[in-house]
Amino acid sequence: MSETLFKTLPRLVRRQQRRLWSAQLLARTALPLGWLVIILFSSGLIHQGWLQLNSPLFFTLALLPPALYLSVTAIRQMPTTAEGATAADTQLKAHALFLSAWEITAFRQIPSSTQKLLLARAAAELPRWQEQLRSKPKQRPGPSLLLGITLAILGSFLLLLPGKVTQKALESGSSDDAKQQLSKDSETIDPVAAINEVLLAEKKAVTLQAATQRAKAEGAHPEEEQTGSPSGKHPPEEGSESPMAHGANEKNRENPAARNIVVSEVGENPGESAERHSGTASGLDASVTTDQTTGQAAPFTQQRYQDISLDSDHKSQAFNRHTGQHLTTTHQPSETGLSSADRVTTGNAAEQTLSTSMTPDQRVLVDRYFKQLSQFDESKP
Amino acid sequence: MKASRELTESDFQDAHDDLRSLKQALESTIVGQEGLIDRLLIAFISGGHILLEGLPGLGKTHLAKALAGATGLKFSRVQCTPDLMPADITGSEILIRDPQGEQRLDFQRGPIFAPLVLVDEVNRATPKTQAALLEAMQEHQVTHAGITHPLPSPFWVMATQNPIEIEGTYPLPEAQLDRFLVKLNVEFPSEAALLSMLDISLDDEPSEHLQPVLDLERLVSIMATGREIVIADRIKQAAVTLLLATHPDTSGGTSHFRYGASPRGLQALLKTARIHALLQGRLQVDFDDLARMALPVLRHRVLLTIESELDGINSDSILRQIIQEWRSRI
Repeated sequence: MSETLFKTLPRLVRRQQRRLWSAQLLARTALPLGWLVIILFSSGLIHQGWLQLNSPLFFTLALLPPALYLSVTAIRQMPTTAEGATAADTQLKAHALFLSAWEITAFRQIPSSTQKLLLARAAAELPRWQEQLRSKPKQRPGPSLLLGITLAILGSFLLLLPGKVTQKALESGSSDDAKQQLSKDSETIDPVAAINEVLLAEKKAVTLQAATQRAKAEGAHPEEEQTGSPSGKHPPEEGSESPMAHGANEKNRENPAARNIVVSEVGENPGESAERHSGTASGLDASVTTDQTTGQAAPFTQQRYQDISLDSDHKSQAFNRHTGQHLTTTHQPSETGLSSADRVTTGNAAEQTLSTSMTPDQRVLVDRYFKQLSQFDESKP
Repeated sequence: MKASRELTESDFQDAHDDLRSLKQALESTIVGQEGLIDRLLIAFISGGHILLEGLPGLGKTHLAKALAGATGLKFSRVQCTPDLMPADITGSEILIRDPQGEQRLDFQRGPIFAPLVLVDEVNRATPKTQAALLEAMQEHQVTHAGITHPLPSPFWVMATQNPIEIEGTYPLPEAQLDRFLVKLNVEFPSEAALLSMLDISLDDEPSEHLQPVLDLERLVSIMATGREIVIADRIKQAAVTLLLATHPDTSGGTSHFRYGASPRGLQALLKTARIHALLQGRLQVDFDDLARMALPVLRHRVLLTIESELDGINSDSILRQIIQEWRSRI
């Protein structure tokens, strides 16, 4: 029996020591959990309500100090075996019988007559002690801990979800930072395809102008054969898509990249682009430079192309000013309020329906472009 | 001595039973002072001297007489007054003429030469007389004219003092207070206790008729058994921590005390805790034993600061606070 006592008591003490350690750590979670909740919840609220925050940074800020604190606490607050024995004794309400017996067994003293009697009493109590220590329920987190964890999780969600502030800012079009933030998340397109799309639209405009002029001429000589219509039988009607434009749009639909029309010079210093086009608003990032990218003949001079530019309200979605490498599109509705089926008028009366898959920004760009075209007077030198 | 032989479970049980019998005997004569009787008995079995403080008429002298009666010990009483001389306590040489007609100086032993001495109103004696008494308490001997006279063993002094009659008194200095194992405050009894007291002691003094429940040999045996009670190292460490908490210059110590308890106080704490454990039927000292005995053991060993005294702070209240905090930390 004594040998059993010598084996069992140290084992019970070690178990109690581990429990004490975990209990101490649990008791010390109030401070780090408070920190975690405050940082996560407050940053989550700020992220959702006021300011777009860098989520990984705030997660690190919220998690790192508590983790360090608990690690240091775990090392420094590790209870001794004597403390474990004391805790077990207190829990068992053994009035130091457990503690005294454990000391005798742990230090392997030669027991005196009283100590032998004490060990005998301890041995008689041992089954009850084992039962009580084994049946001790595991520590459950208190309500405050549960509340803290819930708030921390809620804060994490708030921080992870995209902030409303970005959308609001983009809707109002006033926040340059918000646009920039969104441009990071937006889709990157192929700039060459975008320029090709502009050029295609250019060609359509020229064709329409020629067709309009021919229509005027035919109006003067109605018996002459109509020209400018590929079918030769169905002149373009208002509200319908011309066959040529229809073909181009079909082509664009097949090529998703080509649907993005917002254009910018690639590989250039963004500031340089803005400087070269002095007629644009300050901070201009995008411009149309058709001759440099395609080399195709166009009915306009380079100077005229340079006059076609985007204003600052529509440029930042298209260009990442930090990298200068990507053309981007947005899904933000444009200020013009044009839907995908809206028509853009070019020249005098001709109408051209643009691709339904264009983004509002792209439509605005093309709209402005065609307005410039319509104002162009070829009679002037 | 019984401690030298192999102790059995029945030895401890007998010691525990005897203590309970002694306690019951005292409780039959002193009503409404159960806590006081417990502590008095513990200090008595621990072999220490006892200082009783209380208002007149609360039964201090009666309690000492009852203890002497229940243990069958020879009892002597010294009533201290300012003109009491040391020789009146320790004894003196007197000229004796023997039957042969020769004269010689012979040492006549004073009242101190008794196993149990009641020193009433010890603070009325002069410091010189107090010093003589306290020297005997510490050394368990009296030296007179170069000759040492040992005091009986075991030897107990029970001193009483009145806390309110300060005029014409000589309060015991701290160094001499330290020689008392415990200082027990005799509280005013409750209403029910007063009524019970009337039933048993209106016309009679029960302590004078108390029959001994123990003899001296049995008493010594119980004291030896008490010394065998196991004190775990962790308990000793806790006692040291408690003692240091009364010191102003240690970490975690109180600032209300000018001086904390002495190492003798630590010994007293553990000695009394052992007997407290035995009275509870245990073979080992518990933290609760220390907590229960800390106040009577430490209260006369600490000295309040002037500021605390001026603030009307009581050393008992500070000690209670220290003990409570100490117990919660364990």
